[in-house]
Amino acid sequence: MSRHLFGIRHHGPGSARSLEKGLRELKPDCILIEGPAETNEVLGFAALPTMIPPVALLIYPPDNPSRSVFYPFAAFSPEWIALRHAFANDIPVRFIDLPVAASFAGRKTKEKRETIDDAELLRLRHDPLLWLAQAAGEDDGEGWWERTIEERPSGFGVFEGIAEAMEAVRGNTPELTSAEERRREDQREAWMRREIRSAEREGHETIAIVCGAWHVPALKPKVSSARKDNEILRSLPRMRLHATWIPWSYRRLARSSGYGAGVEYPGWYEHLWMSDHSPAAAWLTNVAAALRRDGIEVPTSAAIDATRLAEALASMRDLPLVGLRELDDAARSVLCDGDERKMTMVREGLMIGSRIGTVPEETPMTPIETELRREAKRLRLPIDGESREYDLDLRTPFGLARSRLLHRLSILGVDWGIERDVLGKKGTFHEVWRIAWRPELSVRLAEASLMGSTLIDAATRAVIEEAERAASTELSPLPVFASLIDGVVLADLPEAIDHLARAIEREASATSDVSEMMEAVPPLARVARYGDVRSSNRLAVASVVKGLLRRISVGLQSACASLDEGEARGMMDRIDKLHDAIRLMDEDDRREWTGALWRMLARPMSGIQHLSTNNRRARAAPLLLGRACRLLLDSDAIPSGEAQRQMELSLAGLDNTRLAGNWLEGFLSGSGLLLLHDNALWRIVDEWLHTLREEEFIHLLPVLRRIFANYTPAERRQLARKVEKNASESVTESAGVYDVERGDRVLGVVALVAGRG
Amino acid sequence: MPTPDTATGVLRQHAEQEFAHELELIARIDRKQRPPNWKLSPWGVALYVLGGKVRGGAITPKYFGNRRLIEVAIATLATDRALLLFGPPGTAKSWVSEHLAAAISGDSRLLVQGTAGLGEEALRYGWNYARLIAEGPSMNALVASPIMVAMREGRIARVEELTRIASDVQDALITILSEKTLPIPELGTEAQAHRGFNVIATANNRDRGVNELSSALRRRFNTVILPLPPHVDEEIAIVRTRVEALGRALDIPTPPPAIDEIRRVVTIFRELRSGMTEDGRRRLKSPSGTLSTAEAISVISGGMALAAHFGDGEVTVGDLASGLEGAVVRDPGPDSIAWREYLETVVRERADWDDLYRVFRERIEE
Repeated sequence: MSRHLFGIRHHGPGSARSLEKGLRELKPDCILIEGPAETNEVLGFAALPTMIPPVALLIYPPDNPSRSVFYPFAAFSPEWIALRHAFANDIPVRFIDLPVAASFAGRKTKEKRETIDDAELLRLRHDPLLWLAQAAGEDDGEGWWERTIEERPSGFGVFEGIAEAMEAVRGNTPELTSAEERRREDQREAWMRREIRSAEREGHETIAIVCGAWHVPALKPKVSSARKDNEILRSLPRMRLHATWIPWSYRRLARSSGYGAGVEYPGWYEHLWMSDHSPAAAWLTNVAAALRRDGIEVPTSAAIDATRLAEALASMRDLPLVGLRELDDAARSVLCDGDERKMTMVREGLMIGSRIGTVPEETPMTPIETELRREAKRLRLPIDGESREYDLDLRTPFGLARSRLLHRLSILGVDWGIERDVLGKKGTFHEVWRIAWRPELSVRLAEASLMGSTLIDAATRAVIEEAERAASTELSPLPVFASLIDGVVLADLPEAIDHLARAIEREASATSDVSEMMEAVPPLARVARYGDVRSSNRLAVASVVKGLLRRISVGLQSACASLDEGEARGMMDRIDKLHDAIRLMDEDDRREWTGALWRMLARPMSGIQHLSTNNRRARAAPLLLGRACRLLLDSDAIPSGEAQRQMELSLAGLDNTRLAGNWLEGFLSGSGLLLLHDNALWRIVDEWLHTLREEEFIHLLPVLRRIFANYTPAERRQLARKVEKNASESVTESAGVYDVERGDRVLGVVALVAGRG
Repeated sequence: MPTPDTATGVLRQHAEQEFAHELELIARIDRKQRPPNWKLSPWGVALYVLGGKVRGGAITPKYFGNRRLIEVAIATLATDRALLLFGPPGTAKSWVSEHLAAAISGDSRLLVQGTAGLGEEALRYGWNYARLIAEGPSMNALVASPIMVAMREGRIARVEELTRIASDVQDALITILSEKTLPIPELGTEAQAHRGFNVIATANNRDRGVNELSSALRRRFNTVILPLPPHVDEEIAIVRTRVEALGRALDIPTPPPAIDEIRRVVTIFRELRSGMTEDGRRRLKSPSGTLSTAEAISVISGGMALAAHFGDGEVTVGDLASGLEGAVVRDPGPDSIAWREYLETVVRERADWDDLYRVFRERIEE
């Protein structure tokens, strides 16, 4: 009877390789692995060929799945290797760590989505590896382990060395942890010892124990007695927990995702695991291939040169082997022409990797799946392949709940239902969905478990992650935030709304781009307005809108200046949308907005004569001035008389006909009713048209055409009728003043423009 | 940047002369393996460039910045690939190139300055025509270029501003770098490179109207981009060290301005250069000039000279103002708008920059 301790580093490919070799040589008849006891009943699923890492064991209380714990495994995780070795050789295998329930029940505060990782080794605030590294003359504990264990070709003897080293470290680090952590660690090690003893009692001869290197000294024989351990383990709290497998991703295995025992670069580790010899050359070849996929020309010879540079660097830095740092430097200098941007294009994809695992269909349902089935049953939405259409009335709690469920699923990429445009009905209260279940949705649902254990948690997290991704990669994330918020409101994710509102507020104070802020307002305004239909956090959002509006109001004038015609048109569109959105807001906001429009209109009037001169670039574009005037008139912020004055001033004051035409386009586009009903405005336009010389008029025709083409046919008909009527009136009234013959010639064209011809 | 030697009267000494004692010091303790014909091991070269303490004295740092970049540069030269130092102007490309050549070959003088009018003979070889006519073609009549000399002697040759050289002339380097030989068809012979030969080229990526390297030539180079200093304190340290050295060398009696004054100049440069305030809160218009560290150095040393000869011997804001404005406003149109916006939105709002704001405001109103 013998116990063999394999001290490993979680997710260390070097450890995994040595372990694989060690197990093959040892031929144990029982394997014990450091991992929570609750998972023993589902371990068997790991033997199935359809279980492909990265996957994770998920442990959760059935009544509150959001308090769940994950134990991820990659293909290069030593624990995974041990599991697979056991199944392949038909050896009993067991997880021997303290049940999660013990620490779960003991915890008073309810922390969400904690990751109780078993890698105490890495989490210790005073990195014990650092001690070893310093003894070896290095200043980086992780890096030392990497170079001495992970990147080196494997050897069986390495485990004896690790055991000795850890013995020395543990013997010399008296108070590394807090009393609470210390107590938990004592319990864990006592539990593991007890499990080992019971395996020995069962009569296994050669027992392989795979645990974090840190625990090795504590699991040796005769460290403690059965009686002492039972004393430590007395009165452990109990709790019923479920366990299952879920797919995991490299992204979430990476430490950057917040997983404490994570590794820096899972993709790099996988590479180390997969490539037997010369990982450097193979890695650089991969980098070259990735660059080529992105359209960057990289000759094969460059990969060779890069390998040589990496080797030269390693020898210059006194390293026995080429590491990731050398490869990074070599790839940048040789393959990317020193360009950091090219490097970042491929770095993340290769180093972290995008791999997502799969779990067999037979595994127990994930909490999310259970929740979906329960909810679907409650809401009478059958989960089958048949396609059905539902018209949801959001004013009823039932319809609202259905809509909420479907929206949450869409956020998670589970497109069970597709929302269709509502025709005829008021969109606020109705949604029409076509739902049909497809088998691949089960896979997406399982992947959603990555984000959280309940639909609301997972959807919230998915949104927040998307926002964070945008914040870190997009130059101006504001539009992304704005586009996310609509779906979030519909899915009723209050936490995500808060997060986005805060993100928008923060970004708005950093950006000076008024256009982006303008685009963010309409969806937010909808939240603030319809927050009563959906019971979400509308007050907070309303205050964000207020803040945005204030910033827009300050910057609007300069944002409308120095624009060319295309840009001005884009800005007009934004102004229109914002204006529409503001109508949903309260009186203060409306006043703030009309105030901004008015300032834009009023201030440059004194200098409008200069518009055609050099000063033009500092003034708002005439198109936008015209639009501002129109919007102010529409919302009763200025009297009709003021609008007339503005129009007269602009049409006469802009000596360049094209600019005057722009003003007119801004003022008139949209709806023709104004011209039909306001005779004074009609007269001004009419008179101004008469003052134009023939070639000026011809120049202006495209603009006029654009204005009138957007009116409804009915409006155009009425306008044409008005032209005819007024023409005859003006002939009788003031025949002496007008050149009738010339007027007639114009009228034909105007009629044509107005769509009558 | 020139550092005149007061003893010899030479305006600027070569790196290997100025730092001869440091090179000697390192050579004495450097026990690591040296590539053929190298005066120091790669480790020793890195120590020389990056500075450090050794037995018997201290090595002054020649380059402040990312250690890894310099290591990559040195490792490149130790393989048979050539080194291209790339980056915006004023990031010490030529400076690094000179010191690398000095440390590796003990000689930084094998230099070709790239210009638009440079002919192929400057990279390969020319002829002494009197001899050519008198004696006919022979090795004696041939005038070797610095590159040919470097090949023969196994040293480092330097090509400054590689991208200013016409493309077809640039490509003369391809044979030299890939075949390590320089054919001399007139004599039916060739000059072969000896071990230790390599080329360091510099080029800046901000210039307009330059000749991009052909991809064939580009492949012969490993590229190291020397960035503008990523952190304000790093840049201040560079400016201060250089300004002090320059002041001593040029015999300017005025002491360099206080660190806070340097910090202000450097901050202004950095903020305008990056188009964003240091706290990342406000975006700014960037003027057309490069506003490199080297320019910050010349603004401050110019201020010192002004103060010494026309002022009261102490650098005031006024002494710095004209140099600063000159560096920022290169193009009177858009640059002066950017500068004014910066004054009104940033300088004005910083309480302790009040004096600066007043001085510049006066200059604008004049």
